[in-house]
Amino acid sequence: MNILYIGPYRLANNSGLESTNLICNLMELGHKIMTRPVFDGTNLVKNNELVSVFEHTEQNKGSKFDLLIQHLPISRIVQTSKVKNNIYWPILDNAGLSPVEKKKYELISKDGLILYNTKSDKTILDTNTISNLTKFNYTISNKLLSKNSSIFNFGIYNRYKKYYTITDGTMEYAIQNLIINFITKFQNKDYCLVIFLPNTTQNLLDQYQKYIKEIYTIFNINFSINKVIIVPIDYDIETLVSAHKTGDIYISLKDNIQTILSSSLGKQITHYRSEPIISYEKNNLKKFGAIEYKEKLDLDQHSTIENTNNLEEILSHYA
Amino acid sequence: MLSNIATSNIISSIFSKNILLYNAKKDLFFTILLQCELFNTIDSPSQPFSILLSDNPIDFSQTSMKMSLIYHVNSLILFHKEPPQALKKEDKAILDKKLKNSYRLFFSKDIEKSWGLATTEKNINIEYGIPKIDQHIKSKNVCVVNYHKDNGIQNLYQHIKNTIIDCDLIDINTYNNEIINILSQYKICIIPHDTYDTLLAASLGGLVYTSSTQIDESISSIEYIKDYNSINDRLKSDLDRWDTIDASLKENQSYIHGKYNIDKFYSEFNNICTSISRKAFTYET
Repeated sequence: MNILYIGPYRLANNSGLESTNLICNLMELGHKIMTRPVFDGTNLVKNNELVSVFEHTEQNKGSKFDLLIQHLPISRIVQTSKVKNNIYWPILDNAGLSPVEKKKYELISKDGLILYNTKSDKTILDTNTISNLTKFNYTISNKLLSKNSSIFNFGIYNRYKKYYTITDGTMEYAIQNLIINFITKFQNKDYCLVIFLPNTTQNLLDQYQKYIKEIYTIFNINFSINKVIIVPIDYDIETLVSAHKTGDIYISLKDNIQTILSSSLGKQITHYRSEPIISYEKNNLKKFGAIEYKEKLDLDQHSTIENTNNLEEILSHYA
Repeated sequence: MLSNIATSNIISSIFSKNILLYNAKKDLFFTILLQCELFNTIDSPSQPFSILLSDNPIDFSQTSMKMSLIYHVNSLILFHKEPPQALKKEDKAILDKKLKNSYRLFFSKDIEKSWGLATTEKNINIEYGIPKIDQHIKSKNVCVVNYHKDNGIQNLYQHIKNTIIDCDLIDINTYNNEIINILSQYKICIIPHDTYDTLLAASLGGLVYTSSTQIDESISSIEYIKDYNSINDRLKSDLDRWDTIDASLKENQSYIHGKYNIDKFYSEFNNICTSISRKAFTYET
């Protein structure tokens, strides 16, 4: 199939990695693909082997395509009649749909297929008026998994069982909650928590260190051995694979490509979902309040995920 | 929300005829681009487009570069003249770095050399194209062209006007054949800076005074003016012997139209734009 793909594959973030993975998957399935990147002002992937893959797909020429795939935020998706078949894989945030966005989904669902990958995306999109929704299961391309990668050396922490997560952006509630839980419940076990922060800033690193110290102080726990390790990393596939290979059990805070990547690398996974319910005891307004967890952290409950890929099925069925 | 210009531009650059967003000084070159049927030229992003054009490398590097990123289209910078003298070697190196994501179109090898930018496949050379325009009777004497309301040119006009009464200031801003028809009526046009405007005015059959250094010396109807102090004497002299001069100007017109063939220019320019617009827009930081 001759496919035109527009997506964020040159961006160094999870959407960018999903985009890269989709391109590699399409190539592995034997499709001819021409790609066009989109940018949003965030970091770009480094010039590595994968960039040469993009350079190849960007140089493909043509103006006749069987399928156009737009892998973009809904605000950037456009309707076009230039290509007969359209697949939209919207990049969703967790904010839900505005009335305008909902309207746009309704419109595009009339002339194309809308893909979603996670339960939370389905929840956001699952309205009566948006049709043509299809669950897209993907696996990690061998091109990504075959990257040469080393293992991080954490010195004295190497002997601990390493629970780890990869998170970007701000220090969200879920990660704060995870840190509190880990420090208060597992300080005495031979566990450590490694938080990999891709493309981070010194400011965010300082915030993490300050926060961890405060938790130890507030809960009167000996800080002599801090079991929470913050590791700034570059967002490139080699480093990400290294991070996953270094950790023992992946803590999945959100369903995203990192969870699938960890699973593809044979890691055990514990899903950690935390809803922000904070209740303050009367007359005892401590800084962090008393936090109630909808779901408790149970690090001993972890499992593997079976990855499936229905990309070819979607393409052959639809286009 | 229902449409997105960046994504529309990506699609437009793959499937559509070239649409150029002319983010540059409106001049005769712009007028000539507007008249080409091989591509469309627009001056505001009111519809999807496939290339961003600029004629000011320095301004583009400082303020307009992000437009290319916002609109997800490749940019083509037109180098009509040499760099300002104030631009030092190190400034040129910085400029070169800032323009690394842009294609650069030079209208002569000398101009390309004068900017001192790195030689890359993004550097392109092309000759101007000058259209053949119906001739008008030279019923008026002198005009001073000042589309961009330059104070220095305004003062020059006043200086000439004090001596030569039949002298007009052309400062209207219209981008169609009207301006060309107006210029065509003058025996002598004074166009201090713009190379393209100078060539086009010379092709209309009159004399042109200019300070542009990028003029082919074979064209005798273009007189290079270094110092405007004695311009009135020169004008008087040329006007006095107009009948003699007029007879020799026809040759220049044929030369200009031969060297700067408009159809060849349109075709080459369109091919350049197609080649650039069909390439994926990427950028390096």
